[in-house]
Parts: sequence; C-alpha cells; structure tokens
Amino acid sequence: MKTCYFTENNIKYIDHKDVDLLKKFLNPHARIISRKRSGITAKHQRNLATAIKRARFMGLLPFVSR
Amino acid sequence: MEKENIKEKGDTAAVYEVSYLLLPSLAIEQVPAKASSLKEMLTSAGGLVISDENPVLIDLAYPMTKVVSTIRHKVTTGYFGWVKFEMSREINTEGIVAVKKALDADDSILRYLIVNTVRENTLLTGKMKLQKEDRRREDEEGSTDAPKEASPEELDKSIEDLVIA
Repeated sequence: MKTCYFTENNIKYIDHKDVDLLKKFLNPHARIISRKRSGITAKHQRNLATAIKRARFMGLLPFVSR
Repeated sequence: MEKENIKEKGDTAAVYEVSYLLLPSLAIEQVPAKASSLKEMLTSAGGLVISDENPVLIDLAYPMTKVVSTIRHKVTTGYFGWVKFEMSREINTEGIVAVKKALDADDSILRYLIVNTVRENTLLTGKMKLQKEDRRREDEEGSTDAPKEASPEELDKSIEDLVIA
C-alpha cells in the first residue's frame, strides 16, 4: 500500500529550496517520478512538480542528468 | 514571475519570496553587503521582510550564462540566497513591478525568482546548508548514533541473569 509522503508528514507547502526532499522524487535521469510510482496525492504531485521546476530554474536541481 | 492565488480571507498582505543567484565573480566579503542592499530595496518598494537567508556559494546543477554589457559570463557556481517579505495588497502590483525592475537592472544577479508563498517557515530542514556542511553533519550524526559499547560489568551482569534464567 503506497502512502503519500506529504500527507503523512503533514507538509502543506512544498518549498523549491528544499533540495534534499525534492531529490527523493527524481529518478537517476533527474526526471520527476510519476504519480503511479511516487504514490502521492494528485494535489501534492502538482505542487511537487511546480517546486521541482522552480528548483531547476534556480540551478538547484538538474534538468537532465547522465 | 509566477503567480498563484493563495489568498486568505481577511488577509491584507500578500507574502512573496525572492530567491536569487549572485554571480560568483563577486568577492565573498561583498556578498553580505549585497544581500542587505537587496533587502533595503525591498523595503523601499513597500515590502516588509519576514525572514531571509544570506547567500551561500553553491554548485549549480548546470552551467548558466549572464550577459553583462555584451560580455557573456558562463558560470557553474553562484551565491544562492532568499528573502521572504510581505506587501500590502493595495500596493502589491506596483510594488512587485518595482522589485522586478530593480532586480532586472542589477548586473550582479545571475537569476532571480519571485513566488507567492506562505508566512510560515516552509523549509523542513531549517536553513539551507552548504553541501559540504551537510555531509559533515551527517558524519557526526552517524558517529553519535552508533550503539554504545556495554561496559564489562554490565555484560557480566546480563550474562549472570541469563545463566540464572
């Protein structure tokens, strides 16, 4: 049974500066892990995607890797 | 830049956050001064600083370029910092435009991002750390977490208990 990381930890706002957290949801190619695999709720997955994209723009996370 | 509507009823101020990357050509002594001048700029535009973090030198995930008067600077590191501030809803449109203009005009800023956010602290780990510091801290934690070795007396006692049982 997959559970949503953000709901479990009661995280309401996903910060784009929290690189360690965001990295958990990237695969080795630095692509965002799909909802099917991450098990996050739809709302949190949307916010997560936005946060990752902001982090990419600021050079905190890569767009592509390997 | 990106705007979301996280409006709350009865809230008269909007909370924004500016994260920015400064060029690594800036000397390390100049960085805190630059950060405070940015904060002053925000205050003069009508903002009220809630929280901030001084820029730290980070390795960028990919190389970026910044054109300063026809010269292309290609960089792989930068000073990353952020400021969270609030602005009253009456002036926030013009206020943010003024902030954007000032940031655009600044030659030492490699990139910046203005986002709508919440007043509460959103960083789970507290402050952003340099990656090196992070690693060092993890090492320390690892050493303290290691199980303590039982003293010989304690061991003897536990063995005796076992024998009796």
